Amino acid sequence: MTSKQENSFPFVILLAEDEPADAHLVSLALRENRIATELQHVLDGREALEYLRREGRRFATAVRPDLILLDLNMPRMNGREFLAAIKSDPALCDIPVVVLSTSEVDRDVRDSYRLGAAGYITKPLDIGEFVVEIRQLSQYWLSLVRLPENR
Amino acid sequence: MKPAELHAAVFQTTDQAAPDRSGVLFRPAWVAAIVFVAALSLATGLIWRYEKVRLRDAREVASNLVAERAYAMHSSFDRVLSATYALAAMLQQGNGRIPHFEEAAGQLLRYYPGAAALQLAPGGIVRQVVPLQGNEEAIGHDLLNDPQRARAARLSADREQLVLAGPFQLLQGGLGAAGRLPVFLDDGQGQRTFWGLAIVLIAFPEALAPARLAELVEQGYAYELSCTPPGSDQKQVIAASSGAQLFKPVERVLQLPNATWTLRLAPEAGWNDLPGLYWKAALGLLFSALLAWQAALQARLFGRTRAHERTLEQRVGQRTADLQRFAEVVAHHLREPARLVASYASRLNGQLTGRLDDDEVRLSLDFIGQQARRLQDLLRDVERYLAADQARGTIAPCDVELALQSLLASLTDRLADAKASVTVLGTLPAAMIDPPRLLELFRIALDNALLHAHGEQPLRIDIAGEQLGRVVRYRISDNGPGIEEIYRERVFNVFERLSSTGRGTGIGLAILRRIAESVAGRVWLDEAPGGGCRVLIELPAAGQTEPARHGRDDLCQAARAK
Repeated sequence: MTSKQENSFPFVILLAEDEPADAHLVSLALRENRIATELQHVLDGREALEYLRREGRRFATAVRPDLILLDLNMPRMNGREFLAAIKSDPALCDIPVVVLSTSEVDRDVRDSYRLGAAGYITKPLDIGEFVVEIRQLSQYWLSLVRLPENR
Repeated sequence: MKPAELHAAVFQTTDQAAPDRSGVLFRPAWVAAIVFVAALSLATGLIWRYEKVRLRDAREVASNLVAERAYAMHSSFDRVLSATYALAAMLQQGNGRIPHFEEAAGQLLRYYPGAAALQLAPGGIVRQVVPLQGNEEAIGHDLLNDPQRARAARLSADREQLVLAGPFQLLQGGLGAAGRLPVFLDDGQGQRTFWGLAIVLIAFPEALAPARLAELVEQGYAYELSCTPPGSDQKQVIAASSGAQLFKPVERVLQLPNATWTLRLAPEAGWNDLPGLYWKAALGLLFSALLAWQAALQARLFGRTRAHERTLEQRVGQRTADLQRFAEVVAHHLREPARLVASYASRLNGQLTGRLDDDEVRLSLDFIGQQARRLQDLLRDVERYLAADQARGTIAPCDVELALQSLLASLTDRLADAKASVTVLGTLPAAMIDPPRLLELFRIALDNALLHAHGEQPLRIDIAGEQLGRVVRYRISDNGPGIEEIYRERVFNVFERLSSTGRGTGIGLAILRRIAESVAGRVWLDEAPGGGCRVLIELPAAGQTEPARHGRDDLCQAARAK
């Protein structure tokens, strides 16, 4: 397994997002904030699980992420199903998952927290606001919060 | 249009109260009347049956009673009449004389409690009577020559057997009967000569005591004891509880020496239990009325429930129509800005071509254009989905083979690009649907195969169909990678896709299902024999007798319209 110290980036974020434009926005926000992270991008919940479990040749050397950013509406396995799956897996359940969604529907927020999400962020229309949100999010999860040693 | 105006335009009819046309179909009064008549018939039948059984039982009880009493009477008479044999034996012993007759007869009378008197009548003329007191009149009575007694007396003598005569008015008073035994004496030379008659007198009603007739009256019965004298049709009543005629009595015949007596019995109040019958009838009426009342309540409740259901259905239908209209209006209104964004993004891209060296800016512009087109696609698909449950023409028998031919003709280029071949296996039965939507069903099924094709091997699509009773089932199979079982139901959800890279918005199969279900059909997926995907479409079959009404022109027009 690749250890964190050997890696050039101190933090790894796994982004599960089917929309390329959205994925691009996240990487843009991280870059603009000069946050030293390695962003891993998967297209749906099933790929995210394959990444975390290092299934297949593509993910054989995948690095365990410090944070997962999750879209809710994705093909094959959506965000809710992914949350349910990861939270019932003892090896993966302590990785914080923050939902990044366009939905402002209260039921989606409630469901996400019930399924074990660590946070729920509604993507703003303004890219500047989004950059600020990603900065705050990263500062909180990657600097402030202490997470269990599980490397 | 402002949101409030839009809402007002869409929901303007929602709150209008639906007129209540219910309550006519279910009339509680009718239901109650039918139930009342049915229940009353049932109750009457039951009571009638019960009465029949009760009457049979009552007659059986009376029958047993009359048999028992007649037997007791018969035994008593046999016993009393046998006193004459004792007298005859004594006469033969004394050769026509009984010494100390009074004494002997007195003793005999004690042994025969039913006997009122004993008489000796040598030559048919009564000479001796015991007890004499009260019977003095009888002395000297010439029985063989008495116009009233002679017949029976002569009969007795001629037949040489005991004869019961009577009943008649006794000379000594009262009603009685007489047992007369002819006595023959042996003259010593083997000749038998008629001596006279040995007689026992039976007085009524004392002789009837063993039959305990009074008890019958106490038990509520009326009785009548009568006889029909030989050679006469006239019934003579010997004893009766009252003078009234018995109604349908049970009877028992007593065969006495040369006489036939009959004991008849019937309940004093008649065989019918009228008070009981009235009670039962009243109960039957009450039961029927209660049942009818209950039925009326149920009918009213049912009627109300149905009316309520109809009102609810109307309201749900209205709300659904409102929502559909709302969604249509929203989708329509959103398409306009989406189109403008796409147009301007495209224009901007064109204007900046050659002047732009920043990749990031170009990428952003591309994203804007892509997303605007995607939004348009999504909105167009929402509109298609909303319209999918509405017929676009007459729903009539539709020639599926013709429809498919015209569809394949319009798809020739797309199929050639995808290196796909379509084979129709056998004949396809006709379905009951409007042609434009039938074409859309097959178009979506073919699109599904084209979307999920491998890309490595040429795509082969097989189409087959069969009629299963009142439905027709079409199977569209491909040799692509197939769809995993866990997704086979999920892919019918609106905008559900199995891949983020594939084309399409994920509405096709949802539209397919909405069309099929709107004509009471169904759609589902399974695995094709080669491991590919198979779409199964079930639609109502076209009537056997009705010819296909949609001809080639309709279908070609429908195929061109898309």
